[in-house]
Amino acid sequence: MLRFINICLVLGLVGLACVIYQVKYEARALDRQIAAIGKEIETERDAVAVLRAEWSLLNRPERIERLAKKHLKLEASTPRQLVSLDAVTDRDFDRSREEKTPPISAKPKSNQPSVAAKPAEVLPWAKTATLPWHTATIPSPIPMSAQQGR
Amino acid sequence: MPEPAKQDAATARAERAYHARCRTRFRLACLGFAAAFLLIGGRLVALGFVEDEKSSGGLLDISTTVHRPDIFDRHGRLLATDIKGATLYADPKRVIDRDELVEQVASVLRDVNAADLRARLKAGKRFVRIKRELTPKQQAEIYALGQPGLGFIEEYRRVYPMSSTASHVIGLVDVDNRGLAGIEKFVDDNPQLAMAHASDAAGGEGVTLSIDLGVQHVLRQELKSAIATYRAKAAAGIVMDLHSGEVLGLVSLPDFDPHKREQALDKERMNRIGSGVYEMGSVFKMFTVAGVLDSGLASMQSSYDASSPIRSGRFTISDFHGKKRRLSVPEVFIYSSNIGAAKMAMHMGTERYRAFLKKLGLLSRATTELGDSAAPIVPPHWQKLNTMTIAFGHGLSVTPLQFASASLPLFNGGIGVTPTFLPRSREDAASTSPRVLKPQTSASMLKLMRLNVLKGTAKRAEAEGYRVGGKTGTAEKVVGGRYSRSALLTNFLAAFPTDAPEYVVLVMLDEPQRVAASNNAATAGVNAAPTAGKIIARIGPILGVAPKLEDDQREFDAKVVASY
Repeated sequence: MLRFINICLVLGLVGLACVIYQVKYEARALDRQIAAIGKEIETERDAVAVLRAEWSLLNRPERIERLAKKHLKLEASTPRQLVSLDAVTDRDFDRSREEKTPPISAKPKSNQPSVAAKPAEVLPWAKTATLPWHTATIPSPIPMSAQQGR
Repeated sequence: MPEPAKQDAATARAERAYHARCRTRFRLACLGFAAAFLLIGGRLVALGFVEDEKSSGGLLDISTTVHRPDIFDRHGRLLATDIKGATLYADPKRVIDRDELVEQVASVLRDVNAADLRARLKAGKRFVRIKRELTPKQQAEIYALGQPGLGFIEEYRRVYPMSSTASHVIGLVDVDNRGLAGIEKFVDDNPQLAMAHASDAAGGEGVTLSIDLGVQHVLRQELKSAIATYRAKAAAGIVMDLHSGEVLGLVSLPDFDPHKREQALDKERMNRIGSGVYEMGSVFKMFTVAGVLDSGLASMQSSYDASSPIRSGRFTISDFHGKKRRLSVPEVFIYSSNIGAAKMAMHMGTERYRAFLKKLGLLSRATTELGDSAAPIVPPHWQKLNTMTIAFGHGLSVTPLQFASASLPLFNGGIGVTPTFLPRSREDAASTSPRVLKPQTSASMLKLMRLNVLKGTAKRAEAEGYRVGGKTGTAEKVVGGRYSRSALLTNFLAAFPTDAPEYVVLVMLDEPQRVAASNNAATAGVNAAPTAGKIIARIGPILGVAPKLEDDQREFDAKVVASY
């Protein structure tokens, strides 16, 4: 009886040892995988850091200003080109509808009370000649000479 | 047979005793083994639960540089970050042919000193650093040499994408990536700062500043063009939120490139805003007028006799724009009357005037995240004459940072907020700062500042729509112990918009020349004032100040003019 139990125990021991070895090797493989992935994350993070540094290097105001001067014929906006939405009346809005201006990229600003406080961009001569929002949709540059002619 | 029987009995007894002994020993041994197994088993289980740090990575980290948190401006634009670069090192124990190695390395890296490297390899340490911040090309060439004993470690390197745009605020780091100056140093001294400012998008740590990159850039560009236009030696400027005390922009030209450490040591490139002390000139009259109004000794309707110069010992105080009559308080301010200002200070009395300046923080160092600013130069024996000259800005040297900070209560309703380079809400600033002036004083000062732009010496500072108020100051520099007529320091302090004040701009030009652009004059009204006006016209939209034209503006201006 005792012998039988002993044999059982020895067999159990051998079996357990096998299982433990296997688990150990699996764990070691996983460990290596973790290390590899950790390293990969580190590499990616470094790459992201480099890209972010490059992004802000390319987006620094100095460079944007230089490029804008070279390629865009835009001038800095003046306070005269800004008008608050409160200054625009319903009558102006109706009139613009009658003129059937195609709303190209125009946001229907009057329908958005949330942006009501934000000044809309208008051309300097807009106040007398045309209506603020429909000129605001014109994406053309504002020549300095036009402003001086005001 | 009794003998054998006796013998048998004896044997049996001996045998039993022997068996009993054996059993005891056997049990003891069992117990011993069981204890040993339990001990080992228990230890194994315990080890299984313990997380061993070293077993996880297995990568040896011998990097010497520390990883620093990124620095962002108030809108999250990157101002400073770390990127990795390779550092070449040698392990002398594994080097086979020292001379060959030195020769080959020196052929790839021209700036490595061969003799020095040979000596260091001979010294017998296990780690000899050869060169930092290798380019990828150099790294490939070193690999191609195939020399044993050479190795690379990855080290962090600080980069500043904005280069010198905000260098005086951000500061710089040394070769080991430790902060030497500016915010970089402050971050090292206060590591909890990076923790508090929760992680950025990439999962790293970051520190957010109160600086607005757009404002900073405009300030720098305009000061640069002012140096060119007025042929000044140097220029400096600061923009502050007058309710929260946040610094939105700080520029001192010439500045340095934080990637070139040796530049930062150049005296000419120092931070004039925080480290230079200057006699500010007439712009100081702001404080004199505020003092006399706040003490209740005078009102806007009071007047002072400025008909004749004041003589005190061998000094004579006279006016630059002399009117030779009695001047009301607003007139003293807009005509920038030295006599009037001196009389105001005398009206307050030396003790009270000094206490007033002290309350505003003009007599002690200003402390910010950039460290202590330079100490102001206060007269050691404060006499009556000192009070009179300080009243119009001579005889007391302060840092521009201190000056701008002290001016905040004059416009924000009288709250003595301290300057900061970290974001702070206006509510926080208001609740933690003491009141130093009466609200009426602040309202009067705003009117005077606006009046000075409408009618006085600061007409050229007007930025259409932004209701600028300002005060000019022209100080003669001390050259060789005497005030010089030709070497001037011109200042302009502006607050805008004056009907609902938000920001303060201080511009300082060092030795502007008499050029055609400034009508062949060199006073602050023709160089510092228009520079400030240009800056305000450009930063107004960035800061979201709504311009007011025509009616709205006239209404306030009419009130201002009526009060005068």
